[in-house]
Amino acid sequence: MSTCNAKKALAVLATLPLVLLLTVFVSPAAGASNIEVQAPDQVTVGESVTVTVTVTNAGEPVVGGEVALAFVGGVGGESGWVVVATATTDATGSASLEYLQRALDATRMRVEYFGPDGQENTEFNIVIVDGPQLHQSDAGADIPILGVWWLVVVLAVVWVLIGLAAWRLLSIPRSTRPAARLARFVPRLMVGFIIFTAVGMFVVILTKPESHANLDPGQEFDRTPRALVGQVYEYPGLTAGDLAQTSNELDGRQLYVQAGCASCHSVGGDVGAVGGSIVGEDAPRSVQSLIDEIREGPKGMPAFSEGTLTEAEIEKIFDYLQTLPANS
Amino acid sequence: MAALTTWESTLKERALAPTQASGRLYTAWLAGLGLVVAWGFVAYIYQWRNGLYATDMRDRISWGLYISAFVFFIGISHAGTLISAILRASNAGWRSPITRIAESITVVSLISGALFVIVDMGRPDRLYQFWLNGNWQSPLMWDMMAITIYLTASVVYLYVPMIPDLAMFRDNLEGRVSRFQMWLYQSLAIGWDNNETQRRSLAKSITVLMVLIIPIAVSVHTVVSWIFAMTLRVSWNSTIFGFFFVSGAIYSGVATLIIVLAVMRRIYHLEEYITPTHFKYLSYLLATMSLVMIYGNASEYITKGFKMTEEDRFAFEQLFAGDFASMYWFYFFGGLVLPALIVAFKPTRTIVGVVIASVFVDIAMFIERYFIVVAGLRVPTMPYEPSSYSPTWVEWSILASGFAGFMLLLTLFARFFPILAVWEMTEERTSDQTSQHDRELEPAP
Ligand code: HEC
Repeated sequence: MSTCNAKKALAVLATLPLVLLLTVFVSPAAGASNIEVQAPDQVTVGESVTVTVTVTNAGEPVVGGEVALAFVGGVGGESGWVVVATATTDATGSASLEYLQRALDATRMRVEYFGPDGQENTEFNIVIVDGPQLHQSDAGADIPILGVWWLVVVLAVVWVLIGLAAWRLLSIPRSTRPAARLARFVPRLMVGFIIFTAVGMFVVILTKPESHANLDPGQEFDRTPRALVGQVYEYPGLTAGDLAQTSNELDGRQLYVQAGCASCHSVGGDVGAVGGSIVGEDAPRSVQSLIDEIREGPKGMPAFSEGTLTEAEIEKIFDYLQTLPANS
Repeated sequence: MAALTTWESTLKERALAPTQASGRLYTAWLAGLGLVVAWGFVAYIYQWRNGLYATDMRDRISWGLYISAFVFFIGISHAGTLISAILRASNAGWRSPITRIAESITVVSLISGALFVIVDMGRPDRLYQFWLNGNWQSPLMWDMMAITIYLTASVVYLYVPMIPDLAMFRDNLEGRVSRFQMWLYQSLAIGWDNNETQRRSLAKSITVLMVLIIPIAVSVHTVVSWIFAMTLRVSWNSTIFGFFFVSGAIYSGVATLIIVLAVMRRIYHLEEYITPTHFKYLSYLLATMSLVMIYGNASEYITKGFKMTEEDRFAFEQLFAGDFASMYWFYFFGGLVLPALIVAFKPTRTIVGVVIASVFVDIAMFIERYFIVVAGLRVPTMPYEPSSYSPTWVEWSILASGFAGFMLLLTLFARFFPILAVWEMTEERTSDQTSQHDRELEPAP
C-alpha cells in the first residue's frame, strides 16, 4: 500500500467522528422548535419564582408539549441537572413553571422540551440575591417567653423561698431568755450568704452580653450567624496577618508555636518528626544564621518572609531556642 | 410517761456517743482515709503543673472518670432529698431516725461532686472565668446555677432541723468535748431553748424547705442530664435523659443510704432505732427503682435499635458487643436485675442481703455513668478513627481520693454533729403513744 493511500484513509477516519458529531448536534436543529423563556432578572432566596415558556414549531404553537425546568445542582459530590418543575403547554403553546428558590448558587438553569424529535434545551442564567436561608434551621428553639426574664423569675422565686426559710431563723435567738450574743451570728451569716449568692447570680446573668441583646426588643441575639448556601463567610478568628500585626507583644515561645515551627520541630524543639532537632548541638549558631535559614527555608522547610516574621521576632525565637534543653 | 423518759435518755446517750468515738480501728480508719485524700492532692498538684495532659482525656474523648464521678456523686445526693423531704412531706413516721444521715449524705456528696468539676476543668481559675464570662444560654451554666442553689438549700435543710439537737449537744456535752466544739454548738444552736415561738419558726422554716428542695433536686439532675442530651452526640441524643438520670440518681441514692445506714448502725450501735423495717422499706424503694431503670433501658435502646441508623449501629455494637459490652451487661444483670431479685425473695431480703444488693447498685451505677460519658464520646461524629481512653494514674488517684473524701467527711460529720434527729424521734414516739392511748380509750364497737 502506498503512503498516499494511507494518508487518505487516515483523513477519512479523522473526519468520520466530526461528521457524526455534526449530525448529532445539527440534525435536531434542523427540525427545531423555538423555545422562548421569560424569567425574572433577579430572584431572592426563599422566593417562589415563575418562569414562562412558549414553544413554537415553524411558527405554530406547540400544544400539549411536555416542558421541564432544571438547574445545575450537586448531591454528594455528583453534579448535574436537577429538575425542579414540569408543566404542559396550553393552546397558545406556553406554560408556566413554578419553583422555590432554595439556594444561592443555583444560577445556571435550562428549560427542557420533550418534542417528537427528542429533548431540546434552552439554557439561561438568573441572578440570585440574599434572602432567608432555607437549607438549615436555626439552632435552638425560639420560644418568646423562654428568655432571660423567665430564668430570672424562676431563680428569684427559688432564692426568695430559701431566703425566707433562713429569715425565719432570725427570730429564734430573739426569743431566748438570756439573750445569747453568740447565737445571733449564724442565722445572720446564713441570710447574708444567701442574699450575696442570689444577688451575685442575678448580676452575672443580667450583665452578660447575651442577656443585653435579649433584653432589648427587636435586637435578638443570634447564637449562630446565618450563612447562605454558597456564601463565603469571613473567618472571625486570628489569622496569619493578624499575627504579624500583634506579634510585637508575643514572646519567643508564643511565636515559636504560632508561626508553626512547633508543628515540624516539636514543642520541645528536639524530636520534630518533619524538621528534626533544632536545640542543643543542632541549635542555630547565631541570630543571623537563623534569620538566613528562616528566610531561605533549607531542605524542605518553608521560607518565612519579612511580612510573616520580622527580624526582631526571629531574634525572640532565637532567644527562646537557647533556653530549651538538648533532650527532654 | 416514765417509760418515755428512760427511752429518751438512752436515745440521747446513743446520739451523743459518736462524739466520743475513739479506739485504734477508728484512728486507723481516719488515718487511712486521710492518706488516700492526701495522695489525691499530690496527683492533683501533678495535674495542675502538667495540665490535663496528665489525664488520658484528649480531643476526641474529652470527658472521662472525673465527669462520671461528678454525675455519680450528684446522683447520690438524691438520697437525702428524696428520703427526707418526700417522707417528711408525706408525714411518714418511720423516716425520723434516718433523715439526718440521709441529709448529710446529700451535702457531703454534693461537695465531692462539685469538686470533680473543678478538677476536670484543669485550671481551677476557670471557675471564676465561668461565672464572669459564662453564657447563661448554655446547659453548663444552668448546671452551675442549679448546683449552687441545691448546695445552699441542702446545707440549710440539713442545718435547720438539726438546731434542737445541736442545743441538746450544747446542754449535754459541757466538759466532754473540746472548747472549740462547745463554741461551735453554742453558736450553731442559736439560743434554742425549745419555747413555743421557736418551735413555730422552726416548723415554718422546715415546711418551706422541704417543699422547695424536691423540685430543686429533680431539676438538678435533669440539668445534669441535659449537659449530655443537649449536645450533638449520637448516644446522648435522647429525650428521656432527664427522667433516666433522675431515676438513676434516686436509685443510687437509696443504695448509698442503705450502705451508710448499715455501717453507722453497726458502729454507733443504733440497732434499736434503725431497725430491719427501715431496711425493708428502703429495699422496696430500691427494687421499685430498679424496675424503673430496666424500663428506662428498654425504652431508650429498643426505640433506637428498632430504627438503627448508621451512627446508632456503631454505638450499639460497642455498647452491647464491643469494648463496653462487659460493663453494660454487668450493669444490666448485676446492677439492675440482681438487686431486684435479692429484694424480691424473702430469704435474701435480710439486712446483709439488701446491703449486698446496694453495693452492686452503686458499682453498676458508677459504671453506667462511665459508659454513658465515655462510650458516648467515642462514637465518631466525623469520618475519623474511633479513639480510645484509659484513665491514667492521676485520674485513678483523684477518683480514689474523691471516694475517700466522701467517707471521711461523713465520718467527721458523725463525729461532730448529731446523726439522729432526737427531737423528731421523741415527738414521733410521744404522738404514737398518745394515739395508742386514744385508741385504748375508744369504746369497743
Ligand atoms: C513545614 C515544616 C517546617 C516548619 C513549619 C519549620 N521548619 Fe524548620 N526545618 C524544616 C525542615 C524539613 C528542615 C530541614 C531539616 C534537615 O536538616 O534535614 C528545617 C530546618 C531548620 C533549621 C536548620 C536546622 C539545621 O540543622 O540546619 C532551623 C534552625 C529551623 N528549621 C528553624 C525553624 C524555625 C525557627 C521555624 C519557625 C519559624 C521553622 N523552622 C519552621 C521544617 C520546618
